[in-house]
Amino acid sequence: MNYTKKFITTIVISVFFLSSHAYSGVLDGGKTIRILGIGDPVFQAMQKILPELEKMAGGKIELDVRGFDPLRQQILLNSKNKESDYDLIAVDLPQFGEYTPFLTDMSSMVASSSIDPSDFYQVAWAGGIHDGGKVLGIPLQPHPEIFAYRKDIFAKYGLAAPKSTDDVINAAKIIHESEPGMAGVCWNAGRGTPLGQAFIMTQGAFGQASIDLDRSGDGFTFASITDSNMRPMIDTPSGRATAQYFLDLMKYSPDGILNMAWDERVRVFSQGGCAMTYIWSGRSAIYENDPDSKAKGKVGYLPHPHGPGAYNMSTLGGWYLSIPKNIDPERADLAWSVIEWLTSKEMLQLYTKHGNCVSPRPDVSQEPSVQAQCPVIGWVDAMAQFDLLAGWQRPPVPEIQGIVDTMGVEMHEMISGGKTLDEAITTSQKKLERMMKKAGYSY
Amino acid sequence: MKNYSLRTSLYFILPALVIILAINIFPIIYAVWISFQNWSLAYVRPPQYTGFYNYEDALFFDDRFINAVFVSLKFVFLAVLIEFILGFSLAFLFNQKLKALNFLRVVSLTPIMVMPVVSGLIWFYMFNENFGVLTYLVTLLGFDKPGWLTDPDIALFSIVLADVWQWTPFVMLIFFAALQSLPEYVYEAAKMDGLNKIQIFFRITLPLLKPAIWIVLILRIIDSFKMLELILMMTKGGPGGYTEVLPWYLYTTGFITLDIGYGASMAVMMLILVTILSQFFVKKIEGKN
Repeated sequence: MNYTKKFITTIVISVFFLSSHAYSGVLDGGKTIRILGIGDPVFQAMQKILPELEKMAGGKIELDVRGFDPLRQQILLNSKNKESDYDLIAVDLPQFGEYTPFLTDMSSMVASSSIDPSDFYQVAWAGGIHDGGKVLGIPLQPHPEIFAYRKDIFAKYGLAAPKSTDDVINAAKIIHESEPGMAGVCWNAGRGTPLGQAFIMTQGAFGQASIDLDRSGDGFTFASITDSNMRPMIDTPSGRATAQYFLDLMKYSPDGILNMAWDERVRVFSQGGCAMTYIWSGRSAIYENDPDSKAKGKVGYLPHPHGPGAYNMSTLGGWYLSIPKNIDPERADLAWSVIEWLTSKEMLQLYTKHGNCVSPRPDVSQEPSVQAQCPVIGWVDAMAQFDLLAGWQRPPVPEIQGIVDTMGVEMHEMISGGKTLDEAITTSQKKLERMMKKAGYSY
Repeated sequence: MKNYSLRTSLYFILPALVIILAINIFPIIYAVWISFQNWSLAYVRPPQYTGFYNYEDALFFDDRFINAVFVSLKFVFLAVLIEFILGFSLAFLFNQKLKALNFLRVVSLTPIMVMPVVSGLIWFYMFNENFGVLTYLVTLLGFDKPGWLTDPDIALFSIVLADVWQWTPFVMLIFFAALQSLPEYVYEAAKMDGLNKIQIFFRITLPLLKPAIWIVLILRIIDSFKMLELILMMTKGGPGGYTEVLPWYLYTTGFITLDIGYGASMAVMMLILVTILSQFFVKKIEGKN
């Protein structure tokens, strides 16, 4: 009896151990994996627990974490090398268009592995498939940019959750003028990439992509992009409405708004400096896990508020793990094994405990412990179920960064008072048309 | 024998010549070659020769480039002028034979030792409108929060202030060294001739300091033209394009948008501009000699 009890206990412990460390030992024998990551929550979580990860993997993990622009620069420079300096690279969803020629097609690896695409959110998995069905990235931290608002402040002023851009402006005005020390809304108004990204996503909320994509249902599709789809759509009613919305937001924004980007807007929101903010869902851990935050436990989440005649729809973005095409062929299998390990259910759960409030898998999102740690995951799970997430706002074309950069500069000049709305919009349209012409598109 | 000496000399010079050609001249020639190409790292396609398209684009169609040139000139003028006046004055102050100044002389050099990127980060946080110490001090005095880095009328001056903080000690150091090397006997002769302090300054000191003045101007103007780190850390060229200096625009074009050809054309134009300016001062120094 005693022996049987011991035997069963041993079996139970072994099964538990094996299931919770399904891929542990992936670097056994002192192997090294070289990862190029982004300074976003998931890689920051990995940095925090790097010794633990190395212990689990049984080898060395070289994690090179960079900011958004330096990462892109490094990926493109690395692609010109005869042999890649990295085994795995982090790829942002809209950048697949630019990187497609430089990435390994992992379709055959997926087919013969334990990864089941149906374990992931369909929209997240689809984000990594490009170029006629090739699997170029496995979702690691795909998350939407959503809209967060302080439920307690809204209740205090009898305001309903802001579903439209008009609601945002109305609520921002009331709170900005009435709540001491609190501005209406935080958003990315920093020059360059922050504001450029904000423009193209907000234009999506006004019902238009920044280039002339084909319509599909309530949104657009980038399944097959031809020259005719590359026409810039900035000087359009939606582009002008977006610019006007930015000018309206400026009136109810906190101090320093012209320098505000991803980190700063969450920090100010967390400290009670604004009642609403646009936020990449994964960053909500900054205040949800901070006992000193004034926003902790008081935040409601919504998809992007929509403009007139458009729908509530949040932009899906975030990070995928890819294998560079110029990887040493002998290291490709190792790279794939590490992808399997890093995107497994157990590992994704582990990241959420260390500040990464994102889950690309429903089975992780629906874990009560995960939802308790990261309330936003439940909200995003609901948005995914109601098809409120989409990626067309930032189409994966090689010119996406050029569009973002141009809009980030022109809009900044407009909100700084250096140009009128009309000047900023017409100049942007002309610049982008010139850029497309230089790139060789004819439409 | 003479030919042999010449050949031997060439052998000795050759390694240095090759190194200079490889690391100095070749990159310039390569940059000029790239500037005639339509070449973006974002595409797989090879560079395509486009002649002067990039130059034409910058000079006639790109208002951002023209703005960046003017912002650079404005920045260089303001920064060098203030650094010159302050550095010159401090050099005279520290030239006084007072023991109390010895410590200050050493401490005043500290900013030069700080990396420009770190300096940019420090000033960024000091100017921050939500958490910055300077903003806090100004509000303590009862003023509204200034938009140090976000007000179009103030932002460039904030960058200039950070640059002045870092480089005034360098200007001071050169003038201080020059003052220390001025011969005493000239001043004694001037005193015997009955010149007062103001006359000594304008007729003796200033003319003797002219080589140092030209050197300071040439070094600071060239260096200020290349300033990138403060913009990177503090404003990224904003608000609008009010602090977008040419090196920042060049950097974003070449290393963020990765439009290598266009970035190279701007680099070549910047090189020409800086060379013209520096040659003006070099001629002045040579003329003086």
